[in-house]
Amino acid sequence: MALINYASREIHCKLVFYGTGMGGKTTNLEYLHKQLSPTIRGEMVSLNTANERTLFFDFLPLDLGSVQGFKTKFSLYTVPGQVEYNASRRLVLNGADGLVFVADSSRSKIQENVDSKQNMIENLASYGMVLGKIPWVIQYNKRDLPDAMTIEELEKSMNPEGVPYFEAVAFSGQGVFATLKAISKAVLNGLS
Amino acid sequence: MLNPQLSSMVITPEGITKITALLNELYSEANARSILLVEKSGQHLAMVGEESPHVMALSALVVGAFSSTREIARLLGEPEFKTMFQQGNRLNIFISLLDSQDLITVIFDERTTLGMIKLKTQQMTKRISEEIKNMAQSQVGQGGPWR
Repeated sequence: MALINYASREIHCKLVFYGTGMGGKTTNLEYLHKQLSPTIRGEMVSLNTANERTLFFDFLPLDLGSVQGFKTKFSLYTVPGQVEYNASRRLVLNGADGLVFVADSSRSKIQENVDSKQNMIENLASYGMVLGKIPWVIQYNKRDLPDAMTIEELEKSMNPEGVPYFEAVAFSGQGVFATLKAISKAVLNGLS
Repeated sequence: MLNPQLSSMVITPEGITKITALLNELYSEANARSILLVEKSGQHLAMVGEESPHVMALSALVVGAFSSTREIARLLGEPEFKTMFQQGNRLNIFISLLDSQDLITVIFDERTTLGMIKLKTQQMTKRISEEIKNMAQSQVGQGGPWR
């Protein structure tokens, strides 16, 4: 739920990075945290398992400039990708203003990507939300893998809705800012 | 026009002034260290008392922790838990759910007691809920944020 504060002239929005386990959601946030100046980003919080997998969520607050006199503040969350943590995924989705679906480009992960997207649709439905009425984009991550599927194949399987997509190698930062820029713009456009 | 699915919450200067006054009243009466009001998706609405540079992360974690108890309640067949208490060596946290599903988080130390915090917080939750509701209703029909 976007929070529009006329007293402080701020808009707060919540973005959720969704997708399969080990698909690169946390890596996106880590790259942003590493690259952005501490003046525009807060501390990154990660609730991990002992083996560094996201248990509940990662959280990174960002200030993304001003729009018509309002400072825009985005809270970025990831969900745990592992199948068994669905309760946590559903909780993190609550109040999301925009979604980034991070798909793993590896050919061996295509079914997991499809299942994860279906799971996202079901979890949105539990809040009475419908994919397509909330701003969302797809990020095809790990484009550098030798067994990466072609964009045409991925688009056919993952994006019948035709939402904007971005090719990425989150580990090196490729496509990370482009994805963030697109989803934040879509969310702000949705508010106006 | 606002996207109804995104159901934005608008904070007005008048509304937040009234809510902050109530939080300050609770802060004084309960002798708390600080009080944080957090909206249910994890955004902070207001904070009184000792400020924290980590207010956004605190808000996200408070909602995360409380949301976990909601799932625990569901698994146990309980509609919901209304409060949560964490005891530390120096600081304690008492979290209470408002009717609006927002959370009031009271951080306190040895200068007061859990009983006092619970009593004063519970006396205040209804008034704060009403102010949040009034603020939401005052926005009906007033259009989008870019006025």
